[in-house]
Amino acid sequence: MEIIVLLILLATGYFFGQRAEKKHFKSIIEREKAHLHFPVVTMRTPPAIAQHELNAELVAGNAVISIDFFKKFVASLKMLFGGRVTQYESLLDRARREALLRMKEQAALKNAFVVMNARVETASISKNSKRRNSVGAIEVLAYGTAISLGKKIQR
Amino acid sequence: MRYTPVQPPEGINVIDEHPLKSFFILTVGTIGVLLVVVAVLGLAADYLVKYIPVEYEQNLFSKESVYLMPFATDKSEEGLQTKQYLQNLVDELHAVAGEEYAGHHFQVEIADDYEANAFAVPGGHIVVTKGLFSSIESENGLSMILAHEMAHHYERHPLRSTGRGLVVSLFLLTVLGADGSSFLQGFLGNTASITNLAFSRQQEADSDVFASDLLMKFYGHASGAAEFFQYVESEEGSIGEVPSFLSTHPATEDRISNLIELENQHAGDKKPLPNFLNNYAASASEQEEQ
Repeated sequence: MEIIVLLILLATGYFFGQRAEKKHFKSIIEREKAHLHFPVVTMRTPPAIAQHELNAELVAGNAVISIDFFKKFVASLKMLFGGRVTQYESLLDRARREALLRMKEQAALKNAFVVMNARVETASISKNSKRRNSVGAIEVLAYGTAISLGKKIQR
Repeated sequence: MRYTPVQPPEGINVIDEHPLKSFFILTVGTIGVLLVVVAVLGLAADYLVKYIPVEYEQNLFSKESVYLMPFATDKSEEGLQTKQYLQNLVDELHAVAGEEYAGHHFQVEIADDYEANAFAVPGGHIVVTKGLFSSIESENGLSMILAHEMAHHYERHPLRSTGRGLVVSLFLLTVLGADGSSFLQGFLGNTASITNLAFSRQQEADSDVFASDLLMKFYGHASGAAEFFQYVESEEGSIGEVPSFLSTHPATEDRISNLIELENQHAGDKKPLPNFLNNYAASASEQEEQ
């Protein structure tokens, strides 16, 4: 009986999880291409532009992606033996790229031409904080300083 | 400084591999490793349990143990009479069992349960259910069941199962942590218990052989050996069969055919059950209907 429940959960997790992941990656790649001309850099000092004042503003993108039962099952087996946990890697990759894209989208709305000093941070949102080693969903926060052109400098 | 827009290639952070591939490798690998470890630990526990003295087992699982409470005989006159009768029968059977088992002592209890069943509990306890009495027709049939449970004790089966269960669950706890609720634990626990069933089936088959030998020694013939199993078979027909690898007991048909053959070779007159036992059985089946 327990095995049947487990199999149903695994099948559900596999079907929906894989479908969501495929769809998400497709959308990420498309949007990354669309925003390709917008630079995001980790430099801390803005370029010197003689004719304009520069406006600086914080922009942030935030993505939370949940793990599915199938990935969780395979990952926990993997943790018995060690090795590359590809199940979590794809999840983190999706969350990081999604967060960066959202940050870019926000910066574009502010008419910025570059995001400086970009940073990425990650956290896990567990279903039950008392239980160790349980990953329910992961959060990735991307933030940086959006630079846009201000007033023309009068000489 | 120049910014050249280039889309980074895929396949660096995420490798393109079918997710089911690692699923199958890991599941099959884990189950394989687990089966091997459980089998080795089980055999080790099984081997070592022989060296625990019988007296030590009896002290450890004394009559006062909490877990025997649900099997206590009721204090009615018939209950006590029946218990005494069963105890005498066990002691007489024990007397002919042989020198090498002299250290064993048995205590019989009658459980308040209307499903026909009997089991051996560590510490020399033999529990029969009230429902058992309506499933047999003669003292020989009853002796067969008692001898079967005694055989479990002589071969230390209850203690061996307990020991193996303990070692295996300790192992699972060590590997998977003590929280007990994770799905992985349930999954691996199921796998481990299926391996235990195979041990259990072998023990049942061995005990059948031992019990029918003891029956022959005691009565001089094997009549009544298959009585209980014939009853079980007639009951089982309505429920449907459990596949033999998922069962703790060998298939009833296999057991019956061996025992009936033995009965035919060594036929004799069966001893009837005493009257008070028939009454006790009748009252039990009445209570069940209510």
